[in-house]
Amino acid sequence: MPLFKHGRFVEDPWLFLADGEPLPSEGMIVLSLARPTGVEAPTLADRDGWLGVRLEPADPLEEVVPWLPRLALVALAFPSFTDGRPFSTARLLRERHRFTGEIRAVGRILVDQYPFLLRCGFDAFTVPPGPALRGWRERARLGPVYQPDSLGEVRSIWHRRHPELVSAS
Amino acid sequence: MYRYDGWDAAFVRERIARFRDQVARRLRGELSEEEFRPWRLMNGVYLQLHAYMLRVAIPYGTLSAPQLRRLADIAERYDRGYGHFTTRQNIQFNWPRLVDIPDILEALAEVEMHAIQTSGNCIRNITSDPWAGVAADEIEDPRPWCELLRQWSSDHQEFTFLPRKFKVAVSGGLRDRAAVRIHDIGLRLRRDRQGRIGFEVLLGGGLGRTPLLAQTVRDWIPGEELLSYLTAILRVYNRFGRRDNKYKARIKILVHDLGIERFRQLVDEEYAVARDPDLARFAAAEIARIRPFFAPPPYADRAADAAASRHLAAIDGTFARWLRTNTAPHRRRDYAIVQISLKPPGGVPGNMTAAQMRALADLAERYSCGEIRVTAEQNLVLPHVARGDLPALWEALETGGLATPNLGHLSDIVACPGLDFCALATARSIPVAQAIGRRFADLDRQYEIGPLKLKMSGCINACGHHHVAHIGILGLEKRGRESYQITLGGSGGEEAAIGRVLGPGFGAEEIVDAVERVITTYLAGRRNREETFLDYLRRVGLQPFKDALYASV
Ligand code: SF4
Repeated sequence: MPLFKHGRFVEDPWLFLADGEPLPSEGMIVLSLARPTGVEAPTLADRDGWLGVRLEPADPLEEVVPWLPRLALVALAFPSFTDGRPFSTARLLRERHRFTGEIRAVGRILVDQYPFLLRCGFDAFTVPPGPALRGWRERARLGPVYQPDSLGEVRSIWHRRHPELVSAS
Repeated sequence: MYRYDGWDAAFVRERIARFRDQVARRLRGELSEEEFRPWRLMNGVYLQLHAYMLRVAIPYGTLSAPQLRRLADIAERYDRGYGHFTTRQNIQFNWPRLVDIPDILEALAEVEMHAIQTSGNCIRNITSDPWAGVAADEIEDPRPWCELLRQWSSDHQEFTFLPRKFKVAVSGGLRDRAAVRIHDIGLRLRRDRQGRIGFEVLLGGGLGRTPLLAQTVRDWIPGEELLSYLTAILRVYNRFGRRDNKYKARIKILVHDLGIERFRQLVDEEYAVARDPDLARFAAAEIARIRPFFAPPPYADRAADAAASRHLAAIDGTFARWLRTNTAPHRRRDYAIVQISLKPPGGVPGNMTAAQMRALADLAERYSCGEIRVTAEQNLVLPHVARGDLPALWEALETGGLATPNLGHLSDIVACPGLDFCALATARSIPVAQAIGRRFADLDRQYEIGPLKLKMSGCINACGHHHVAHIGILGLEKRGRESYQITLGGSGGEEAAIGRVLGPGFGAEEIVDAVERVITTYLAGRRNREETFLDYLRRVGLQPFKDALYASV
């Protein structure tokens, strides 16, 4: 699946493993939440190589929190582009749990959702191959927004109107 | 009134540019209807029975004269010469072509209006008290807070793909005129003992299939903390609200299932960590910036000729009854709040022609500091009229067909578009409302009946707010025929209540007679004229009405 990151399409170094697949001894792998929280937990804790977890919208976030220091990627699944739960999950990961690794949107997303996803803390997006790719190249950009994000990365309209508050925070 | 700065204007322009692109992709077939849907809804565009419909926001119900004129232009150029005011401080145009909608949005943007988030599963257009800034019982004008919420909720990064629509109303008076208890979140302005401004927060109201009244989730939250607190509520809802069944997806169901205590606990836990001092600072700074826009207009002192309307009322009975029913006390004694009924006998509730819009815009400039308000009862308000000008204003309104003296009476009917326009409808509502309006057109009879709210919806979605009407009518479909169910005893605003179903429905040809029998039952049974319909109903219950409507059958 093509991967869009930092404004362009890049090679995806990560391997997404299905639940039954054996763990390779090395390499960057992404697992469902069931694996690090199941019987493989000790193996995974000892394993070298980068680890990522894929969360479905209904997965309890608390269960992944203890693993966050070990994770370089959290993939948040969108079963449908109208399912808004991952927007909250991403913000919680970034703003509450101070997760600094990659947060990737996987599943059904639309390029028109890019400004929303970006401001919630997503920084990587899988895009279905085909005509959508051109759309991402042309349309994945951020316009003016009102809401400051608590990481202060976006210069919101409120930031620009009240520059005195920006230095105060 | 609020005026856009360069940033507000840039935001709206960017939204239109994006939507123009989305429409073009839809027309080229690059977006499926499913992929296009969230964006058209977030821009107020519905796919109706016969055509697209555009729902334009009138944020917190405040309109200027040039804005109303622009609505008239749009009605003429893109619709069939009229617009339809809804129960949520919006106006709908029923016949625009999809290709034209970006141009319409641009025409709106020129007068600082938009259709942003008037539909879709996001935070909808924020509604408020139509008497904001002029009501005698006001704690503070709620509109600066509404404008803050408008900005905060526009393209919100986290809360734009909610389980379902989300409606917020803000009330600033001691009495609630914004129907806060039928909203997902209702906010009531309150001062604490130190005189600081804050809000009582009510949660989980809504009509539709499962009508519920909002409950207080927090007695008081300081004003600058409001955005963090709302973030906590919406986050709990966004994460845990049901998404498997559209009819169980509103926050009211989550509140109901968890119980208000448990919900409060979840929100408090979230709020404790989500509390964001930066957001509080921005909110305080924005409120301070926005407040001066809503300063009272420069009123001329008109105490000298304030008695003019009393004098005319003494000799002209027609003027006197309009004065009695359609004006309300203003904060200043030499001014009045004037209510414009959009319910002429036999008319379509909430409809207004382009000519009427222009006429009213002119009158607002001459007599009401250029301001017009839009109410949840599908009427309009001129909020700042000098009492001395009332006779002249009344005459002009009469000429324009805008002086129907029926405010708060039986023929002041609220009705949704129903089967004549709406794709979801199960029955017609406009023709039924018109028939009832004609049957009860006699004003003396309406005054004899006294204050009465009749509201009707063309399906279970309850856009006509029939649940909170004294007499509610719900149009359903039973075995291929329209069937109208009556509910009695609902009430909006202060002392909100959900009406109770009287019994089996009535056919389209029977419903007007059924309403007639409800009325005659009340008139025959009430103790005296002071006992209103609602008082009587609370005293005797549904039984006398059931007897009158069903016993003979
Ligand atoms: S109540 Fe039903 S018929 Fe009436 S406008 Fe709403 S959805 Fe349409």
